[in-house]
Amino acid sequence: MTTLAMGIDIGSLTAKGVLLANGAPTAKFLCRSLPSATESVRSVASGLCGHGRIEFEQVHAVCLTGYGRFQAPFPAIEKSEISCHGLGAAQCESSVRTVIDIGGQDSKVIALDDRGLVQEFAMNNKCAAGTGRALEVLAHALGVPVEELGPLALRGKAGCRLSNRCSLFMENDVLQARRDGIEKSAIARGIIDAVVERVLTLTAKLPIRSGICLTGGVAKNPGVVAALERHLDQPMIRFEFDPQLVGALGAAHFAARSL
Amino acid sequence: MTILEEIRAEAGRPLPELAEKYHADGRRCAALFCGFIPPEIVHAAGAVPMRLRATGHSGTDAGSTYFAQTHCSLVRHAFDMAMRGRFAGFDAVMFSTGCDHSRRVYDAWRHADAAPALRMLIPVSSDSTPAAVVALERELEKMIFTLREEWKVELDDGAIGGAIRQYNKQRALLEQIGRARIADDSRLSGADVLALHQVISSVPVDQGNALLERLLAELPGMPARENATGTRLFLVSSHFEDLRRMATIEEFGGLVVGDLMCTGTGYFHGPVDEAAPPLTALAERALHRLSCPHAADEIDRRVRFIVDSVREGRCDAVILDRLSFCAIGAAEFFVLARRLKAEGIAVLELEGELHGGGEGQLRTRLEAFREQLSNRDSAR
Repeated sequence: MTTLAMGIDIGSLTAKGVLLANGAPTAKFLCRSLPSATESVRSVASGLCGHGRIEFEQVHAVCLTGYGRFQAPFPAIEKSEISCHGLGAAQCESSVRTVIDIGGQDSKVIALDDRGLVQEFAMNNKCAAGTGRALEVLAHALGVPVEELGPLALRGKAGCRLSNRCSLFMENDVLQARRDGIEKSAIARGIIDAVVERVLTLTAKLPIRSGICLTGGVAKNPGVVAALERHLDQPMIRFEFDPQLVGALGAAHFAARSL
Repeated sequence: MTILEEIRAEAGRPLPELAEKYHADGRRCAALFCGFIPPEIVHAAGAVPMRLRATGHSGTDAGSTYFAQTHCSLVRHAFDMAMRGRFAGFDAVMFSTGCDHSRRVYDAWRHADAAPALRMLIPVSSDSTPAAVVALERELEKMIFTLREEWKVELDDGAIGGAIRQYNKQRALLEQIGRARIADDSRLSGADVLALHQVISSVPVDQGNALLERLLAELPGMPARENATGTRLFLVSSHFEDLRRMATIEEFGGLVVGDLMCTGTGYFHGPVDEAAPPLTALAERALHRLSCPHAADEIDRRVRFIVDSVREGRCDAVILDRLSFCAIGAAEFFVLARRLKAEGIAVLELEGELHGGGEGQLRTRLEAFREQLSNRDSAR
């Protein structure tokens, strides 16, 4: 008999899901988060079931994570996204010991033990300056789609320094840099450096250990990955698995472990 | 209604409403902004000392005209209340120089000429040396002189000595509550105890003592508090008054069985020496009180108190929770986190506003911390 375990990660911007069949990913799903977390959960569950290809009742266990984890419309276990990103990353690559997760509205640095379980973590406070949302706002100020920010930054020269203390001040700095005629690619690099430096302030509380990976949607931004490698002076582990779905993958493994 | 429900309901009443009630009963009342101000002197002057809190007040628009968003939300809430005339029913408001933000709120209050008319500042040193004690004693003498002049009251050593004895009795009763709180089958949650502290720091001391005696008598017959997570926590904070935040900490983190915070156990910790001259004894206690990081030279004692309390209370971890932009809290917690971890104690650092906000992030942190503790235990 095939054991089906589902992990659903409802974030502030996107809702993600992974379905495991006997421990291996068999379906993935991603959509924009809906206004109601319950609707997001239903939408992801339906998407993972192939919109009717399999019956939801066939799924043996579900684990919810992310901000929507408390609004399950069906029986499910809950795990924090910090634990889920940790276990998900360790499932992708067992040598991971530090996870940097940059999400839509928060960022975290997570230290893992050799089982992929959380030893310690640090998380940003209300400030949005080190989050995916800051990248979106600043890309808009620069006049480029956020998807193009990373490739553009890779071509940029160093030297455009932006404030990293507040997204609002950063936005002003970007507009000023444009008025000063600085190349867009250099500003893009400055934006990413500022956001990355902000994220790395978390490492003051939690020293980074080798075996580092980046998870969350921002991990798809090659400029951010390159900036982290530059600032940390260490290579980042890259997954074949979609880094944006790592939290959902971890949740699916927690669901499987609950059986 | 059970006694704990009564306490919760009373703690939910805004201070201006209580002040109106005291006035109707013919009593003066004074709002104390900081734990350095001895309530004994205010009580001996015939008034009700009420520890300032912003219960029931929302918004800081008016308060923010004098303060930036980078000032702590206690200061902004308190000054917002002042600007909206919410302290008009008080006879005095008293500040100390416990932190720079509280010093500034006194300046702003005077500049805005917000009610009440009697506003007093009691400077305190940032250490607890003998010279600092003498200086505070002199400031308390000035405070007494002002109260005599303004309120036309007799305020002598005999009256202050009597107040000291009443407050010492309160501290002894609270120590019994503290011991009951750490029992395995504790009848009290952290939210219950916070509400209790809020009530007794805003009612006349004799009423507070009667409430404590009643609670101690009824405690054995109460059902044990459910600890949903099975985790036992010790909470360190500065000014903490949000009952909802405490409830969230207990729902998603664990039962708070002990605390060190200036609106909690720390405010009431340790008696005033009844054998010493009253003002010397009050100054001594104020400066050697454990709860305030203002006295930087007392940090070793605070660390020792936390470590001993964690062991006695069989706590799994310590939560350090401070108000955003509380500078002395940030400096203190930086040191505390390292010292406690060196003692093998797991620490979670939180920060937030005076009331509400960031509920989702708070839950995530607490849940992840609990999972972290569980991972640590399973690895052993």
